[in-house]
Amino acid sequence: MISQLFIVSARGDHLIYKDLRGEESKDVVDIFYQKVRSLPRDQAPVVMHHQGLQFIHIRQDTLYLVATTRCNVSPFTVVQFLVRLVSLIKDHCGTLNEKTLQLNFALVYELLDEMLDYGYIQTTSSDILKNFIQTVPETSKQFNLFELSNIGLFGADTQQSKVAPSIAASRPVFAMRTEEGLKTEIFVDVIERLTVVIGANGSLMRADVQGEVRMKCFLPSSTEIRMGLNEEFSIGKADIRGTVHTYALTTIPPSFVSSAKFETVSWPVEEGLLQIEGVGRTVLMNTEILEALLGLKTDKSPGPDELHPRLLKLVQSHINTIICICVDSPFSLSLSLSVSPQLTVMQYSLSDDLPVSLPFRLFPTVDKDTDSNRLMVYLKLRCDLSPKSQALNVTVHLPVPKGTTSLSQELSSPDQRAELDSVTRSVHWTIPRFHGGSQLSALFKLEVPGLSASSLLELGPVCMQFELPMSTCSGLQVRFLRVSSTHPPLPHRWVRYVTHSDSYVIRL
Amino acid sequence: MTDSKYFTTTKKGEIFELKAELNSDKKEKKKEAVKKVIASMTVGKDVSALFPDVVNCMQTDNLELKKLVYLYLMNYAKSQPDMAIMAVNTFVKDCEDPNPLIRALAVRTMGCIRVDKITEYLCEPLRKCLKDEDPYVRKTAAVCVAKLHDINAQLVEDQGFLDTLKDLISDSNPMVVANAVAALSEIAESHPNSNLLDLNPQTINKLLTALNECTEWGQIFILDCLANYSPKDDREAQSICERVTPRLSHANSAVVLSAVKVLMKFMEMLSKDLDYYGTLLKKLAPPLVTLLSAEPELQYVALRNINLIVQKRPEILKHEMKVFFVKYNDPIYVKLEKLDIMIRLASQANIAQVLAELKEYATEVDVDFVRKAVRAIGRCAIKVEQSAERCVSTLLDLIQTKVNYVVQEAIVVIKDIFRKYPNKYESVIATLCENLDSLDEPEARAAMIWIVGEYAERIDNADELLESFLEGFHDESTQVQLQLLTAIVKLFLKKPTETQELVQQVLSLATQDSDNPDLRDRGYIYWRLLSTDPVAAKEVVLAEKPLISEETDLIEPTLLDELICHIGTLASVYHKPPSAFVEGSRGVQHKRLPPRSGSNESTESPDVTPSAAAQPTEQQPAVIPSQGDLLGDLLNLDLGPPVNVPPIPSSTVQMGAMDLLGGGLDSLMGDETEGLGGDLSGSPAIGAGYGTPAVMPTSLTAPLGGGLSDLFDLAGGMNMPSGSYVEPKTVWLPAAKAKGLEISGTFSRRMGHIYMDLSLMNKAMQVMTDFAIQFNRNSFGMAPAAPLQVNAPLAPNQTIEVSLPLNTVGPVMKMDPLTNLQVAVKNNIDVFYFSCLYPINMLFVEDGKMDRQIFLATWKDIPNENEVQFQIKDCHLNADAVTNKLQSNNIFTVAKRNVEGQDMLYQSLKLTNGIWVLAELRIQPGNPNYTDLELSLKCRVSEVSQHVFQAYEVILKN
Repeated sequence: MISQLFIVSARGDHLIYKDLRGEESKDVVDIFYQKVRSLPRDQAPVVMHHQGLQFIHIRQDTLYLVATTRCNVSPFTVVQFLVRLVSLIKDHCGTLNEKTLQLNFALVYELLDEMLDYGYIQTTSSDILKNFIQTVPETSKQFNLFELSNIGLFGADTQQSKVAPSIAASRPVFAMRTEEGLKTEIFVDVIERLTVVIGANGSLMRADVQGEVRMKCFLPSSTEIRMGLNEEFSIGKADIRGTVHTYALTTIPPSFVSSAKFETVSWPVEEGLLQIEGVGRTVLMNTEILEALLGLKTDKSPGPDELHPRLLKLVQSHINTIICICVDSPFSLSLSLSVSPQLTVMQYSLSDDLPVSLPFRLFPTVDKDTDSNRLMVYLKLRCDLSPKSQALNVTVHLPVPKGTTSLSQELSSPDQRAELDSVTRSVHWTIPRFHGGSQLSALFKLEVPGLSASSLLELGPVCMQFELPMSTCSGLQVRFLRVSSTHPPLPHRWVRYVTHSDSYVIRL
Repeated sequence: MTDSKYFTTTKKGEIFELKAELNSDKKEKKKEAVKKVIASMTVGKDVSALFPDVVNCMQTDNLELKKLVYLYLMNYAKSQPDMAIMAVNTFVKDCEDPNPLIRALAVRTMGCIRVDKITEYLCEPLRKCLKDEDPYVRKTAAVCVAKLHDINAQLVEDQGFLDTLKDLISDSNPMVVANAVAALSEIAESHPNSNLLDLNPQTINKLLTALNECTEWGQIFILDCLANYSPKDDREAQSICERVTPRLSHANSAVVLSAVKVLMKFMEMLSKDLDYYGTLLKKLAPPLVTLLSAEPELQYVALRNINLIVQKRPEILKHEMKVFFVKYNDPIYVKLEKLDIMIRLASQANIAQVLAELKEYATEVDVDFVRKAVRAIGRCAIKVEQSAERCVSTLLDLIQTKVNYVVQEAIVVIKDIFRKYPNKYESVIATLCENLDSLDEPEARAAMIWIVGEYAERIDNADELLESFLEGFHDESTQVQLQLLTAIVKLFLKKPTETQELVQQVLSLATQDSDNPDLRDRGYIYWRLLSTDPVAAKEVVLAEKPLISEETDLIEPTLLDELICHIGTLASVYHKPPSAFVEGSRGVQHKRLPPRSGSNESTESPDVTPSAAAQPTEQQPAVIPSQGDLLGDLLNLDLGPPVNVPPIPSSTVQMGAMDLLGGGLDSLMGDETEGLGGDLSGSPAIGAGYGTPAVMPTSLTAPLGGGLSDLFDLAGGMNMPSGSYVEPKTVWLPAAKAKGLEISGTFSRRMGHIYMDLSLMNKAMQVMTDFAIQFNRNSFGMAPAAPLQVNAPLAPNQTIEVSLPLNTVGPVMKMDPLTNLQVAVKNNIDVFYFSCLYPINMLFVEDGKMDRQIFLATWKDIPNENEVQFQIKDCHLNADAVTNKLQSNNIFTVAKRNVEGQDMLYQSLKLTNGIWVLAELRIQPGNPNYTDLELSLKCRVSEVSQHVFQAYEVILKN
């Protein structure tokens, strides 16, 4: 159980402080602040302790959200709770920063009172909480361009701030009551992170995609949203495609699901079946469950390995129905959502068999001239995206042998830059914009006094960072997004895609 | 409105200003004023002066204002208890409000006002709220009971709230159930023996049902509660597992880990042959892997847990090696944790892949990470024998880079590889020697010196190399000095002709110019050994070393089991038991895994172990030199005081000499391994040599600590009686029952033989002759090894002491109690029968010291249900004293560790019939409140445990 909860700014100002169990004094806030500022690099900042008091915190931009406890609690529970707290404050106040906290501290205390009782977590569901909250949020009126950037990728910074077409990112979801007349909008973001390791011989050693579908809506209550994903979106190994049976398009009336009181249907996930838990929570099915529910077939045993084990996980609580329909394809998904503030609809991951080719290929050539102590590295980089797409902010990091004194380069176009960073002893090659299907090259001449055979070992591996707007590596696409609105002005619907490099490594 | 509205600095008059505003008639103005007060409170200003004014605002219909006032109350009520009474009426009234939100708000706030005076007013409202029609009020009231209990436990019990709380477990609303469980768990922790949260199959069933319906947070409470339950059999365990498994795909990782904890715990009860066991193993992998896609901080927490799981059940993740490969943008603490798990998962099947990765890591930029990667390569070599050759060649490649820290790490691990695979990879020594100059870290220097000394005969210029180190002898760190001393002595023993000067130089540096006692003592020991008997010296210094083991820094089994019970908690992040960092009573009770109930495994025959233990027994004699007269020579050295040793019966001298060598040898070996083995910190093989008293084949005398001073104590030591504890004689056969013959006696163990020491007293009027003795069949086959020797006739009122040697090769029959011995004594008058109990420590044999690795393996191998725990009360000994006392009774300490300020001794003993007993002894030194020792015994034949415990108790208390 949590003993205290507080929020401190990066400067050490106390913004929110709540003592939940009357055990501790307020001094711990400063103790925490000192500790977190002097944390050594190789120590995980998750848990810290001071005289038997444990601090668990997360950092959100310039704020520390901290929980303290004296028990052997689950750090996961606390961190998850803090993460939810962040998203709830955002739901209610628009953004989370020092200013909004100062404006809305009464609201935040009210939220905390409902979320925690005597240190025990009560609820974090927006749906439930909105019934209890009395305080009206106050938003800061000035619009600030810099606050836009927060579309909340997994913690990775995005360079995509310009994509957000309105002030949506900083608008509170629950401000609807007071701000009539604002546009109704819905945003769906498909965000993927790509992890790739390419071996020295050019073979693909690892390719993982972790993806997430996020949604933020500014819609009146009880609007039904239906989202369809593309039929080709296949999860799992490619050869599964053929083995899945064909079903006619079946629709389940939403009332069926919400009125049915299921016992937990839990087939093992790896046997191709997913779970239904109660009503209005994780509801994710494939054809077998559908059958079982509709009574089409009852005694069919689940087929082997039809879905990859750890692929899909839906975030519960806001989703009323997810209907999965199979039409000549392994998987297609239709969601029916009730009031949904900002939430992650779906998380998925793929490994090894990517349906599309890798975005970048690198062809390196290394020449060693021991006499003049010079190393020539010729890098040819090809972007294998479709010609319509492009990659932004591409950075290539090439670690170079220690003792490299200088770098001279020949780059293929003027907007590129390359420099030698002596701290990390690597060359940074930046390419602001890289069109699909094109090819760039760079020649780096490195002066390495005392060049030896072993110096070559220190060269590489090449790491790349980039951003691929409007494309996904899993091939997932939102095919339709239907909003059944009773009020005439149809909401604006935005669907955005972005792929980020998480760890894109090419060994030399 | 400006945002600085609430946070302007308090001027002198502000309190008055606020006071006026609080008493304003306008609702809006009041609300703003209370907000300002709370803002000041948050930033730490004292606004307690406004208490009465704020409380006045309490009676309002405006829920927002009411909440604000309550917030204020919670903060200041404690400092203003008299004023707080003013609020009571409003609370009581609010608890009757038609609006459930207000009822709940009132009951929630009441509980947070920690003023004793108020509590009694709370009972009635609380009782009503516990039975409220609205679940929101009930769930709030449930938590309130826990709050009240914390303030006034007696009151809560008297008012019968606990029963009401128990009823709430069956509530129809899952949130209420979850809060009731949480409240009961908390209350139960402060009453460890109460049966508050009585987990029986019915309540478990209710909880499992609620599990499906309640929120994710409620699921966590319930799962944590389930983890404390002990299913009655494997079937029940399986059915709970089946119902918990769906939680594994929950999006909230806290739910997932709580479910993992329940499953890992209950799996212990499932038989491995079960199909379901395999299914469960398969199901556990995906959720664990998914945890690694979280933020780095959570990844770290997940990895710490996975590290435990991998140690307990490596099979779960054996196919998931790839996800532990390091990403270049992982923070360093994630990278290091991943490396550790990679090594734990490394096996013959995936070693090629792992090595390729490690080689890449070793050329990265981050120094800490590179070092760890190089060490990891060495650990791979030691763990997976087939890969050793590739690991060595990889390390050689890395040495070629000449990157200073890489070279040093590589040399440290190569030394370990030599220890594991002697005479296999020595061809690389030449390459290592090339890098001698670049070594600037003590550990690497020490490792290199060890290598040079160990393989001095193969290195042509070994003497030059070592001599070059000798120049800066006094600037070196202790570990390098010790290593250098040993290496030069080794060199001298191998090439005596060329290096005499060198060895003299180092010995004088060590003994005369150093003030480090370790170094000096080691120097003296070598000096004496060399000057007395070079042959013996050779055997001591160049003795064959035990191989080191791959089981590096494993968490010890009992701790691991306890940590498995705490998966997903802080304990699993720190890898420490909760008692190490949680104060007070909460969570301090030790949790243990349930015993496996698929019981066919426990019936293995007890004589499996002796064959495994035969190996170390055979090794021991090789270490002990056979010079019987060495002692005398040593004592006659020039340095010592002129001790004229009188001729002592030769057998005793021999014992003493062995002892000395045993102790001295051990301290040498110990120090040496400490110096060179530091990198494999906690490596069992090395640890076993270090800190463990001598490997003594016949330890009749108490072990001597080793070192120079003992040389002089020896005279006293030699006359010491047998160290084994002997009970005082008791009357076995009273004279009344045996026609005037009274027999009292005891048992003792001397020089590896058991004796029955008898006093025969003639209380009759006639002379007794023709004594003879016979034993009935007994549990351990004890029988007289010689006839009873009573030479002269026993005259009336005369007593004679007889010592009867016994052996254990007689016929065996299980007795009850186990150590019962039925004896028949005959004399010229009649035959008399009596029975006596012999202390089981008579049966502890001298070669009962188990090799450390075998110990670890055996400990794991013996089923958990064979483990028995005892407490030895009021024992004021420290670990060393305990070790010594036990050792003189043939209970050998295999290893000693200090965990959280407690000394843990791992001990083994062997009975005459080859049964091994393993023991873990927990001592809390320096803590006068904890004078109890905790003893855990594991033995395949669990019947002996009780007797062994008694032996421990008797030995330690005498």
